[in-house]
Amino acid sequence: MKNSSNLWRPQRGSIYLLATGLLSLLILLIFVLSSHSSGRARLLTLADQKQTALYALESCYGDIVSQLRIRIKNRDAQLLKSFIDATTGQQPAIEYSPGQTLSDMLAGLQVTYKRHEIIFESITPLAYPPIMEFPADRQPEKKGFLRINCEVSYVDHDYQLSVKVPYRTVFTLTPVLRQFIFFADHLDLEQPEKIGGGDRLNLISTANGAIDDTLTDAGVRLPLCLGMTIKPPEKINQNNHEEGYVFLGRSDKNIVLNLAGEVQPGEGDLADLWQVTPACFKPINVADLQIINASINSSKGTMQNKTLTVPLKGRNTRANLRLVGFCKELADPRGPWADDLNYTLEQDTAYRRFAAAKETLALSSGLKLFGPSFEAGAISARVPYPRNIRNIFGRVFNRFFVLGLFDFPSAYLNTKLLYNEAAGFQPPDGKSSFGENYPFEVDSGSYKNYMSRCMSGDPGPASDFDHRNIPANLDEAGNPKLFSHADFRGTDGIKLKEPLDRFAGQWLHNLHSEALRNDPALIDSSIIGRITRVYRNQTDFKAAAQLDQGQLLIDGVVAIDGDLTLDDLPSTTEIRGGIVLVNGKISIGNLARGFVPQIEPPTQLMLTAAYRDYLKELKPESILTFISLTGDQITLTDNVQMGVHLISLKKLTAVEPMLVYANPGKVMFAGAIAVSTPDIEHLTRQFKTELPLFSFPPGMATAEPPMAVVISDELAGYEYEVR
Amino acid sequence: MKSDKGMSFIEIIITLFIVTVAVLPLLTSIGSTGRGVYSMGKHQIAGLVARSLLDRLMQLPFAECRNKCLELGSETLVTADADFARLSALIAFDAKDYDRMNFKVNVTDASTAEEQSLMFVIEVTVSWPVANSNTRRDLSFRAIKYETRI
Repeated sequence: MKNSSNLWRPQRGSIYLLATGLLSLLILLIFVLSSHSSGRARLLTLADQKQTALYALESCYGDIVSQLRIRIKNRDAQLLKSFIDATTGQQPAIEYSPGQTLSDMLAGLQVTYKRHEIIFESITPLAYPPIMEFPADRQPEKKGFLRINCEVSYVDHDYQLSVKVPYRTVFTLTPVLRQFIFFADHLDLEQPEKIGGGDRLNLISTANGAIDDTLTDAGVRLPLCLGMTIKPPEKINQNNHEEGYVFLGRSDKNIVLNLAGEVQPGEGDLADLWQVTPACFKPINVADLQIINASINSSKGTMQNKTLTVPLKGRNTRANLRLVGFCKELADPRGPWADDLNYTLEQDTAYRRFAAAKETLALSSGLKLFGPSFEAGAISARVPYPRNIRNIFGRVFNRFFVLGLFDFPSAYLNTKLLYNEAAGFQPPDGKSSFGENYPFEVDSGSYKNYMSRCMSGDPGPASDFDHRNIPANLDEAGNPKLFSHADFRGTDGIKLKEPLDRFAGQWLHNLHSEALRNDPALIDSSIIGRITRVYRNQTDFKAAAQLDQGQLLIDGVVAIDGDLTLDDLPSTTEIRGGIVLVNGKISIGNLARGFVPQIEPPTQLMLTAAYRDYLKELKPESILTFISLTGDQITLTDNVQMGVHLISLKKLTAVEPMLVYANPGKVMFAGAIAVSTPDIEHLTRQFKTELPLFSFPPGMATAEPPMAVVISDELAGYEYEVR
Repeated sequence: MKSDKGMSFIEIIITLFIVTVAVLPLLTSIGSTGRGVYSMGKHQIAGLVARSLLDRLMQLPFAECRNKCLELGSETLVTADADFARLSALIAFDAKDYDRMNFKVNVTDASTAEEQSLMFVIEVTVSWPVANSNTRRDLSFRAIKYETRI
């Protein structure tokens, strides 16, 4: 028997066995290593291929989105319509084929483009707030997704990428407000008194059409200033909406505007008696009556008056009803007007109240809502006034005098028709210079329709509603009418169910408001739900708008979480419009859009066809709307803004200056302004030496408000598949 | 008398010869496999670097992206790039993993004049030295950067 220790003693030939085992182990190890290594290499290669294909696919969907964006930018009508009319499952109207760059890249990578598919998904209309009634026959704004599937083939596999790209279709003009050249939903706060120094709307004193700075009465606020003049571009226009509506609110408060007179024909910038139509002399039938320009000399100069001439029963006799606005000449104790007014209106309690503070008679409105200039010759003096050219919403009344004269020129009959409210009053016969008597006999109406009177009535609240208050508007039949929200018909078919001063509360919200946090439904039904891009601050916004490249591209509804300061833009700046929501203050410099005013003074621009043509060229899609969601002040650091809509609205209990010119000069503004309280007094003081020019680009009232299709830069879904 | 126990010297010599002859190519193969594994490691890291760089570039706004790409147009050591330094610190890679690894970004303009202002092709190439050799291997990815503000 062998000793067990012999087992461990090397035997002859065992060395070969050991060597063979060792070699086998080595071979096995190498095989495992090699196998592992080649598996890993295969995996790595596959990973590289997968990554290459992924980048290729991302480039493919990028190319699709890029081509869509280009066609949207180029206003491809069919494509835009397909987005605007989109419903889930439909496809956008685009015949896509890969661009040259993409094709070249794919060829270089030896990737084969196989197919693509673009489908609308989860399309939902954006809601509107309860105040708005959106027409059923128009496409509402929408949000949804574009499902883009792309497939390529690379080496031995097919690869597919499916992405979900959010998009929105949104209006780039603010509904309702876009139709108002001037919208002030708390203007009533600026008129605590209907006349006098406390009336912040009526603080301009004029003499001979110029600013009068001679008043020293302690009750009158000095220095004297020019008004905030809002003048339509066309002298006569049958389409009132193209002149921009005006809303002076609140809807349940009266606003009374004094009307200025005019000194020389054509000096229309300070004359707004145009608003008064002979239709207010009811029940006189004024349809075929003459309106003439009559002038009268005063120690301060000549005054022009619109005079309605009404034939009376007596042969060649007539009643001349002369409209006289509030102006400095009326208050001139040496002029003929003081005597006339005192004599004819002695019994008029309204007049006595004004006369007690005579200086206030010189005040005229700091807010001037011009229409066609009768005296400038745009409208023949021989035809009745056309319907009021600018629709003014709100409880807005005008105030002026009527001086009635019983006239027979060839007989030198010129008898003043004194104020007398007594029913059935018959004035004494007029006496000609030849001693003949002429009885005052009318065909229609009664004496009080012809007598001299103050057409504002008693400025106390109780009588602001009586017939002597003349509304700025006329209805279709030519009768005076107050326009409320019920009369608003958006050119886009939008109607309002509630008063205009409630619009802002339902449409505009602070980005960080509690209301939005507590009620997500408010987001969808307000401007917040229309936001297509949000910027953390104005720096990000400016970079995205490509200001540094001489462009200002909005194309949608963008929001900035903070203030916005936009310095003067070079006039060559390429501008693409949209709505900029600013959660803070707004400060804007010149936005001239290539406009170079050639006319001095600038107010005369309105009379030039070139300027009117320029206004028409401002396309709706180029209008820039800046909205302060916080209702903060909007400051205009320079004086030329073309195609701009400024909005800052909020609930107020006291006047805040929400629109300020940092450097008031020759203001030229083409667009629209909506501020709860513009602080007319402050503004008109800013316009002390230069009459501002506010005008409305007709494009803002288009019946087809531009709708932007905004494809998001972000993705809402991403699926990558290797087949 | 001849003993059958133990190994003769001649056996050992023959065995050593055979083992040496057999193992030498095997060792070569092991070396090659090792180099392959090393290279794959580098390749993997290079892929990470390339993807990371390309993704980072693609995130930039169009003009900024182009400028950045042009700025990175020459061969740059990965370890010299501050962003990668941050990244490698974050995932605890050893600096030697990036040893002599370079990256380079190439910009190719769009193929047509209409597309010039709308897109360009970015190619990110990452290269690394082959062990015990003067040659380098590389890996590249390409993607198109599109202008989103059209």
